[in-house]
Amino acid sequence: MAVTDLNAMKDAVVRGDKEACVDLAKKALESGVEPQKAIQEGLAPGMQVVGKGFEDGSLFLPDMMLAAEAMKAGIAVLEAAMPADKAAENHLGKVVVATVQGDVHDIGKNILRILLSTAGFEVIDLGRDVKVATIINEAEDEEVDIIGVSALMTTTMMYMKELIEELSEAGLRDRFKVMVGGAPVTPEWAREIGADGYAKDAFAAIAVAKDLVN
Amino acid sequence: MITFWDVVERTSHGERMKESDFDAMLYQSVRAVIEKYAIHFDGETAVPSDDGLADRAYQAALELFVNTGFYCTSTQRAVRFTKEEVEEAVRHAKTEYVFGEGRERHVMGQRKVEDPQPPTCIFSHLGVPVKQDLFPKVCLAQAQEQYADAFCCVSLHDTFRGIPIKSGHPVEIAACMWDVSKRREAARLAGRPGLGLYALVSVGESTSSIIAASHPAFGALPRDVPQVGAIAELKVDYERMNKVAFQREAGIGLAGLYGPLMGGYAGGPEGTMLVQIAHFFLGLLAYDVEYHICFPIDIHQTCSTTLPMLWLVSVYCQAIARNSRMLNICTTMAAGGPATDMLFYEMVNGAIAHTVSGAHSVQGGIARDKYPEHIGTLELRLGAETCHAVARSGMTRAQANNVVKEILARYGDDIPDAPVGKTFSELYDLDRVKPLDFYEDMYKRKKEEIQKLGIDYSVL
Repeated sequence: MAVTDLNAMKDAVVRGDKEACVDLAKKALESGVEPQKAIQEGLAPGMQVVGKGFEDGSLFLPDMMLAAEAMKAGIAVLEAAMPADKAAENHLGKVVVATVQGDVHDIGKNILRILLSTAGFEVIDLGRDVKVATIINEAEDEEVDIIGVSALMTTTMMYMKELIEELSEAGLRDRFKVMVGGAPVTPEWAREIGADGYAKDAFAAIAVAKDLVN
Repeated sequence: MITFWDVVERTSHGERMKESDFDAMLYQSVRAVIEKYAIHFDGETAVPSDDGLADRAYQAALELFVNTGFYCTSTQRAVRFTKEEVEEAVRHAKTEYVFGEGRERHVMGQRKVEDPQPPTCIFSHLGVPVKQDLFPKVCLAQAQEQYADAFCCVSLHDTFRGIPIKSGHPVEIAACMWDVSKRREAARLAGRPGLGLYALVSVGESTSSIIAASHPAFGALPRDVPQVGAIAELKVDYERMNKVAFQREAGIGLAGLYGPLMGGYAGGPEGTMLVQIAHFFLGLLAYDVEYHICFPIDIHQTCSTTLPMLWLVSVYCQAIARNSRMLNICTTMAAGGPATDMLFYEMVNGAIAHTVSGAHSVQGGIARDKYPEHIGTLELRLGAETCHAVARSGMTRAQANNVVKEILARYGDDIPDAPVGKTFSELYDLDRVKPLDFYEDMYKRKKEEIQKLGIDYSVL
């Protein structure tokens, strides 16, 4: 596959063109390109362009969402052609994310979901206004590595504290790493409640998540 | 005319769709109307003097809202209205709201672009966390600010009676009732017992907490207003509409609260500006509101004082003022903290943009509402004084643009790493609840500096 086709793959991600990503992924396999190479040199650079564009304000959340969907569609085609152990190398870990009980603000959590999934994490998104018990149950059932919770109000960030207390009381504290974020959340608050990680925004959270699984 | 209950029924019969599909539809519709109506941020202007742009923005937002409607997350349906229904609701919008009572009675009326009548100025630190022991003193510090036509205070945080305050928990109810009582007490101690409360409770989100706090036994006046927020972007749910069902029949004031995120589902400054306007239609129809409170925020900087945000604020305010009689209050969301140059500059810039663009003004979010007890009132005071000076001196949009840009040059580059400033305890004599001398001196210096840049405080 020529470099121009890998560039076309990158451009398809940037455009959010799911169909083109799937077609180009199939073409890559037919041309004998290593699936991992197509992911790393075709699809991933596209997401990096979009991520940078979002950070500098030239692209916006819907552009990121479309790009992520396109990239994931392409990855699905390529990973299906990889041996299972090779495909597993792309998976960094499993994360459950949620906006805590009583809180309906979820844009930050949605951005985090996109960035985590395109970075190689499997993400289970429980949505907004999620009870602590539901988060814990899902984390157990799905055997996640990380629980990521977000809050935008002072009255709902208290549920982050409750989550950690409940995990401790259930003897589950050491099974999961807990990351917290959201507008009123500070590093001091994260330390106070015993969270394992804090990030000021979704982009910073990716590095934190990678650290937590290593 | 379509009623609140007509709208409630429509939430059960609108077009069923996934929330993510509504978000995608919104973004596509925003892009389409931006192109159709030639809405464009030039990258340089903070306060445009472009009536055509403001009028096109209003029409674009109207077309956008007619196309998308709003989304009800409780029923997973898009709820739509005809253009005629929306326009009729706008025609019947309330044109006056009265805060407070007695000698603190304050009438908030319509404002126009470059209106010589000063805006209603509201002092608010809503969102800044403060613990129970300091809460009454902070309330008093705000209530005694004479330029506050209504006030809100801060967000009670952490514990109440030793129990963590959590949404949906019985302690939330108790904390809300105490919150209102302390703010009413603060108003009394400030010699302003009838001063209006702008957001009825700082610590309650649930409908039950609003109902509890509204009881007159705790000090709420009939027109003290719990706000009903939209969910980003252009969404509602039954929990929010439950509040409306109570408030409109209890005679309690109704205010819509909308904070679209620039960089989010609505896109950049142009799209977010249009979605900000579209929320006014949502507020009238879904929440039966009497006035509208806006706090658009940059998704990355978590403030509203960057150049694109100031443009966004100015254009949407002008669009509303020129094309309707709806009551619009805009909030300055600042990155800088108390007793920093930056916060003074941001409050002044927000005040200028709001006032000259035809809005009322909340001197509002501080240090991104992130740092506990980072509260001061002197920056808010300067903001309110600026509102009055801008209006009374007859400042034009062109003049405002020059001043805003001059001030922006003094803090714009520092926004990403904005200083968090000082705490209330560091700034106030806690016994007398008065600003310390160094803080007052800083306020005076900043006021002199801003005066030299073109704000004529001598008209006050």
